[in-house]
Amino acid sequence: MSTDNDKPRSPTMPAAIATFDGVTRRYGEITAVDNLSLGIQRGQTVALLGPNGAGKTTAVELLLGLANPDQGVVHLFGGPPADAVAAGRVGAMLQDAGLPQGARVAELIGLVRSLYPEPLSVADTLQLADLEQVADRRVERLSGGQRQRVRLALALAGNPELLVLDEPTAALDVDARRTFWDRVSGYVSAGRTVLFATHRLEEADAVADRVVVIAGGRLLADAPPDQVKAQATGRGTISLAACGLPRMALERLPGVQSVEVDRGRLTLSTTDPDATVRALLQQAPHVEGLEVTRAGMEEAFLHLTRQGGTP
Amino acid sequence: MIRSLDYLSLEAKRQWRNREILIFRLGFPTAVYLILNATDGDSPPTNPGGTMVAIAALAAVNSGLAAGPSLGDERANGWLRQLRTTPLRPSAAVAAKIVVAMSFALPAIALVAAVAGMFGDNEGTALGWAQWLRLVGLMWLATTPITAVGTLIGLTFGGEAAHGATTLAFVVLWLLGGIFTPPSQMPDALGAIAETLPSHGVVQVGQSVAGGYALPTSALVVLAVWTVGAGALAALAWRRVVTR
Repeated sequence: MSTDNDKPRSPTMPAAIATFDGVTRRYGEITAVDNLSLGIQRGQTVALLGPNGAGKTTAVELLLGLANPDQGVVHLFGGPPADAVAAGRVGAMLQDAGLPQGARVAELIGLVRSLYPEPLSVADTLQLADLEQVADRRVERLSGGQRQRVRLALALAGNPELLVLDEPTAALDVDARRTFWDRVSGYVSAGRTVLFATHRLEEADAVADRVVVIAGGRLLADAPPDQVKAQATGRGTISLAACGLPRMALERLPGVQSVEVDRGRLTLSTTDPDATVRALLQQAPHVEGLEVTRAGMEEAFLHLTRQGGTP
Repeated sequence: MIRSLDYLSLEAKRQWRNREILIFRLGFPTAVYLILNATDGDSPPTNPGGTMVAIAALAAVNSGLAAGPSLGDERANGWLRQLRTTPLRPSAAVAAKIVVAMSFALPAIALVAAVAGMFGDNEGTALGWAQWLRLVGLMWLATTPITAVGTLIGLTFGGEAAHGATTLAFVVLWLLGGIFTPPSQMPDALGAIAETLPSHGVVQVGQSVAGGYALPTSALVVLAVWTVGAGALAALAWRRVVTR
């Protein structure tokens, strides 16, 4: 499998601030991260995209030094992740991290910012995360969305060079998600680096300027979002009982890549289900038992691997 | 260092303004003392310091173990992991729990001793100011190993299990620790166990001050061994918590 790291690096390309070099992490029988090699350059907004259980959270934990690799090396700002964290160069929003009961919002932000060398002010942090109205409220009296914003505020308060967000919008509705990313991009425009994990392709597409796709702990693709999106959307399978057309004709329908016969049913796999169905109905109006299945993201990702990794 | 103090101050504020925590840690032992004193006021004390020392030891156990559920909860809900993504030294979170637990133990013990001084009528000895201060101060210092046990529980068990283990430890330290029944009056086997528990050490510290005699060396050994032992085990458990 080839990755970005294998390509010759142009002299103008900035050095990576975070690197995974052949990193493997197992939990019992499960290989959560499998021989992952990856470099993240300063100023990038990188989406770590993959289905649930792909190893995204483990990759984030390895990057932050919360987990140690079984094999390989993770470097953050040129050294062990724990050193970069201790130096206050990283801010993180972990998935479902709790908040200590009884603490007030502004106090908590005040504490976290005081731990970093060049933090934002409490007022700026509150404003950035839209928490001014609830600054004096205790965290257990906040709504789910407000709590999510507090967790973002804690990641931003230290004004870190690298912001790491693990499924940051998982609990949010569509509107809240958009506002969330507006806030983050306001912060990022100052030339900082962001790595976020998500299982939403459209989120990766809308926010990131580079998408790293992983599934089963392996790197499947590493490319600009439009390329990944083109690869991962639109595919599907069409299955039918009978249509009266010869197999050769089915293979020539637009988008069709292969035709299989199994117990009397024909299964067409296609890169464009809409076009295939349209053409099929024109040529064979009496199709029986038609079923169209859109590929899930996982299948789309598997397709990416079959193509050899890098699109 | 300054950062650790910031965290300590937030931790202290957060617990001290929680009304339920205040009632449970400060009000509960005092209420137990007043009830016992009212129901059993005329019987002569079996030990120096009598009910006062017994309930002050109960207050020490009650506050000392409090770090357990608190750490267990923060392990379970992920706050400790969130803290680990900041420059705060991870041990500062544990140290803050210990210091804040101790900060409740002192007034909890003092309150029992104060109420006993005002309303108690079976203490056997009327304590002077100096003796009263020594009693409170030394019983408070003797709470250290119990705080170490609380920390060990919180780092060994997460969430609900930490609450259960704390309750179990509370019952064992209370009933078997010789707080009400002196080990000499227990069946031999239980009495032998009682002599080795840190809660019994706390009781012995109180009794020696109230009775005006020197603390038995065995009590000092028990308190020291529990502090070092539980402290070392807590440090090991902590290492397991921070590296996955």
